[in-house]
Amino acid sequence: MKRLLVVLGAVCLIVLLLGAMHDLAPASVELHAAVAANLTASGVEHPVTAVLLNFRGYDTLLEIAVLLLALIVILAIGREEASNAEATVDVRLLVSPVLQTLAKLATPLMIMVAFYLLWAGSFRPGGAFQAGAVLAAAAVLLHLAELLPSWQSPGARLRLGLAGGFLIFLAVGAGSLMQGALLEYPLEQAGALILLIESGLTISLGLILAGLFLLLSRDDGETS
Amino acid sequence: MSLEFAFDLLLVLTMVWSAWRSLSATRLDRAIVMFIVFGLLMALAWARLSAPDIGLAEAAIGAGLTGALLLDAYGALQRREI
Amino acid sequence: MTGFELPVALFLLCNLIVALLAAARGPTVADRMLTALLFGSTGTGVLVLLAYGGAGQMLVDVALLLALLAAIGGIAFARRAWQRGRDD
Repeated sequence: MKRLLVVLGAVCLIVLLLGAMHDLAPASVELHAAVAANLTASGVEHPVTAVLLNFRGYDTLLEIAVLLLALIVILAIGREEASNAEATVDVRLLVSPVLQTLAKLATPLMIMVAFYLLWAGSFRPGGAFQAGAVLAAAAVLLHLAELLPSWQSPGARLRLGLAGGFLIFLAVGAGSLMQGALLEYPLEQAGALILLIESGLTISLGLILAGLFLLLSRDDGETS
Repeated sequence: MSLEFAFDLLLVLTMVWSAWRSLSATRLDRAIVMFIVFGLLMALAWARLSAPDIGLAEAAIGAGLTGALLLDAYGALQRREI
Repeated sequence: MTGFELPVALFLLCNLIVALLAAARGPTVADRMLTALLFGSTGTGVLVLLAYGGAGQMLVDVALLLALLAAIGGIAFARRAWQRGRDD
């Protein structure tokens, strides 16, 4: 009976949503045309990158801030539990050489693909977020192959790398605020500034996303 | 019925089914495997929607990070229970 | 573009549906995970076919990424989540 009611409610919702979708008014602002008209002023040739880093730059700024905040929270929680995870067995001998060879072969390729995506972002699909995710995946692969230890206590350099992308972005934002409006780049330097921000974002995003895995990992995988 | 429409229809049905299996699975490991499958299908769906930017992000995050993160968390939960 | 891309992609998608049924059936979690890995490799093929079937060369990048990263899930499963001899 309860299940019937749930299904009935879901069906009603679907019908309502379909009806609402049918009644949607056409978009009042032609964003497509607006982006296409201003693309030459953005400093990049790919519309998605232009929107993410130029037209709506502050959204991306807040996005990286949120990710950094998530990592800081993990740092705060992870520290608490680090004390009762002292049992570190030397598992290096148990890792199969096939996995280690795969990791050693695939990691340079992943780093290359990450830089390709970063570079491609200015004129075709790609960009800092995707490149950072690939870098993080490379770090996870190395960690799973026991070639990269987990980050029990991040040092000053690692902390700088984690925050660097956000700091560069913030510095560029502050600089442009002094010149006029927030994240409004001068026309001739727009391309270079976007590349600078994207490079910083790639490194930081890679470290942050890898940190989600490596900060909480306890290296006690193969104990059975 | 054109081939494109058949492809999209099959893709949508597969995605909905894998999402349902992932949500209704009684065991965590099964749910995680179904979620990984759903992520890979999602990358295909973004490709069909001609949004390669999101497809790239979904492929990188879904294949490289989420699956590993969830499986690691599952392993940690298992070891805590024993 | 020869006109064969889309039919072959559709065939591969049908393969994936069979694989999904296998992944739902089991019997062990390792079986399910192996079938999930099949989605990565077949997905790569489908993406390349879609790219050459007229959707644009950008999809080749997505396929490249999928090919490069699909193995990580399997490795994470084998190293972290799977305990030998404890099959269901």
